[in-house]
Amino acid sequence: MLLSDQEKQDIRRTWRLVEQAALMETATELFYQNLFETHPEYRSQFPEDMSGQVRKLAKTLDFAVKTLNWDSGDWKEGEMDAQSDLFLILTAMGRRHKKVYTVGNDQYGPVGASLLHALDLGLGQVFTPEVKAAWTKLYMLIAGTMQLGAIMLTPEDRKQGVRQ
Amino acid sequence: VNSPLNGPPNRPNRVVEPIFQADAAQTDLPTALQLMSGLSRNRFLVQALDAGEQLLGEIEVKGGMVLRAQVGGLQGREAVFALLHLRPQTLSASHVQDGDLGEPLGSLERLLMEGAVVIDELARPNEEPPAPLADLPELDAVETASAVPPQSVAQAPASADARSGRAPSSGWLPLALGAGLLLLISLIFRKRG
Repeated sequence: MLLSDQEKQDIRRTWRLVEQAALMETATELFYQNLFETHPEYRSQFPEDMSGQVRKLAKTLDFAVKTLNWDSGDWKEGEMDAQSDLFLILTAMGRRHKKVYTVGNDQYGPVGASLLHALDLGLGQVFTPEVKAAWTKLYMLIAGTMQLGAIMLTPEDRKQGVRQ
Repeated sequence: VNSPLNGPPNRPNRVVEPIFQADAAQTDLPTALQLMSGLSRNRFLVQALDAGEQLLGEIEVKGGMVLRAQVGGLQGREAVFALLHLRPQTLSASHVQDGDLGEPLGSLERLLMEGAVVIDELARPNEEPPAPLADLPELDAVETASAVPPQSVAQAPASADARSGRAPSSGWLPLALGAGLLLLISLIFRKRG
């Protein structure tokens, strides 16, 4: 499941293209359009005005890609605080999505499919099978971490006697 | 969970901050390690706990590398393989700050693959092991050492925990099982050599 250096490079390169072509918000709009077409039952979980949601998703993806700016040889460096750690941020998002937005594990698959669909439309020929595989793996890491966040107990939960 | 084992290293500047616990029935150790290591370069300690929250084993990862692992008397790569074979009740993860990285045991991805091979061989002990994979030469170089005699395993009674496939809740049985695992892993490596 770990991303290879080549896959990270593919993700960073194609995300730069999305940025350069000012496609970031268009891609996220395409994403939500596809998601609500294929799964209209999810629409009620989102606000009426989707502009804020589109910006949030674009920002999250942008942060995820830019945080993965390291290759396997850089493992010794890069200690960061919890507020900047992608793993910890995603587990917190996963908890919030489960508790506040009641997002279930079964929803991560359709969301991933819509994300890949939007990237495919936005990137065209650049979205090769290798690039698609890299983005798929990144999405699996993101979704897996959010799902882990949804089931985990934090030290605060344990203090308050919350059980799994 | 404080480690009653030989580690983790007791250094004054080492800070271990718990971040979460998760029911091991809802996730598993390789998945948790890959998610942490795949998305972060911070250093994480993951401990496998039994139903009584006793420590079965632990592993530290950073940025895709395994820094250390321990199960009972096992340390190093063998401990990684033994950890993958355990069935803990709970996984407990902490963020670790420790300037001393030491020499890593290897990449997480590679050790998980090697561990899968070892576990596969453990599952069919009566068959001849397959020829060593050409791209895994260092497996043959793993040193094996056990302070626990093999009869400890033979004398271990079958508990309800063991029959149910869950992690045992008493303190000595994990050590006996660890010793058994060590013995089996040693036999595999000897056959390969």
